[in-house]
Amino acid sequence: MLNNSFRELVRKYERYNSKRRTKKFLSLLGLAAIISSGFLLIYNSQFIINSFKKTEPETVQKEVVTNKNEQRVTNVPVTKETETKSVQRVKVTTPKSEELPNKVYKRETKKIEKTNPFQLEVKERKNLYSLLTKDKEQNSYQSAIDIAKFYFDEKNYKQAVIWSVKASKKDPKQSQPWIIYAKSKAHLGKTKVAKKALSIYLKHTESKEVRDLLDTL
Amino acid sequence: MNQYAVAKELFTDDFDLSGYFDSLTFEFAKKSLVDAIRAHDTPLVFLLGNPGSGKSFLLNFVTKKIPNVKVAKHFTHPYFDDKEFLEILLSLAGKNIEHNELTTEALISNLRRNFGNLEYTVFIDEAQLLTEEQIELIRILSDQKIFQFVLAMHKKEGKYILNKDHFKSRTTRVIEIESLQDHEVARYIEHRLLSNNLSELASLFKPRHYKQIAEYAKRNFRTTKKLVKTIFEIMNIAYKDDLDKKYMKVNTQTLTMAAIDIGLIDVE
Repeated sequence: MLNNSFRELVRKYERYNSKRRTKKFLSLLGLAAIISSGFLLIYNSQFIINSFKKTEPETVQKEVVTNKNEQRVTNVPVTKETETKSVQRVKVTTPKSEELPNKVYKRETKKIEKTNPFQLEVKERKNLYSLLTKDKEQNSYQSAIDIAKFYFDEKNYKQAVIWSVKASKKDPKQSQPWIIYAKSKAHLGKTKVAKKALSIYLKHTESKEVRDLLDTL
Repeated sequence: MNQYAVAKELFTDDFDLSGYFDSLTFEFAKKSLVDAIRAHDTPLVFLLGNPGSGKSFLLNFVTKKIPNVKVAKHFTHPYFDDKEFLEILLSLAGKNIEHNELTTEALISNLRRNFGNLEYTVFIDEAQLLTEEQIELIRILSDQKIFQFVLAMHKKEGKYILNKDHFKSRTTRVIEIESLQDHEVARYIEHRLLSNNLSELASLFKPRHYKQIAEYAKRNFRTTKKLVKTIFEIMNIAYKDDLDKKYMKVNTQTLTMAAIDIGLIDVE
């Protein structure tokens, strides 16, 4: 003898089965939601990390440029791009040594506003992420020098050196990268290197700002 | 009677010794118990196990089937008062005593004269129902080595009684009957059907069905029997009422229906 009638038992079984199916479906749905949200989370965090990794220089490679007259050592940031391609050298036309004229020219002096050589003006302060993103998009002198300025302002002189070199490669005639480079080196206690860099720049490009900085170092 | 009705009867929960099944845990318990009885050195033996694990069957089996064991009396329940208990034991020595003829002390001294050295064993089933006074009386009789007592009781209560001061310092032996294993559930059902010429029904059970039965019955011997009996009852009704053939097969539906019917699954 059964405790329930047969019909009642079948009805109970069907109710139990539908409950079990619903439970199964809901748990599967929950599992799928957890997996997809986890996947999205990982994917987004990876994207952010990668975007940083691509823009930040990883190591610094020493580049030795040998000319007839001089030998200089500069720190060049090595990015993934430079790893795949060969290191691009910047051709800087240096004037050949000429005989000095007998005449002594008077230096033209202009009134110069006294500025604190160790202070840079950053008009619009941006965060690093936006600067790096901008550099990634534009890959220009301006974007690189902005980052160099940012690092200098943040007193991260090693990064400032790296980005100033990068900026100088984009536009070798600009004095600003050389100034940031020299100031950063000075802050890092390498005044000799700073002075040498400034004197190299002055050999082929005249800049009052650079000369003044050289005098103050 | 159709084969489903015959099969159903095979799984009725009774003490029919033809339904003996040699599970590992049962065999181990049986050997331990027989050794303890034959050794005559342990005044108190506790036989512990969950309800339906086979304690009562084991006591019955040892009483009736094992030779050279001196079981003086098998109490299937402990519903007796102290004097009545002692009078029953004394009557085993062939003495006819009227109820309340002797005092408790006189009964005990009479028992001491007739029995001793733990030669005879007394089985008490469902011993978790014993009162404090009854336990104390059993302790006195066993301490004086008049009788050896085997107390079969539920595991949970047994552990509680064992932790009482009465028994903590005394020589006792504990024998436990554990649950069946999955393959033993399968072997039991198969063996029971095959030994009764129901091989056709035995072939309906697949390994996954045995596993499901073991899970539903929580590997308990009595519940397993009850569940299988209900499965065959469902099949029997379906056969008699000429219902859908799916109810005459062992499948998830019939197994679950049987589990629902005996309350192993709560649908509400």
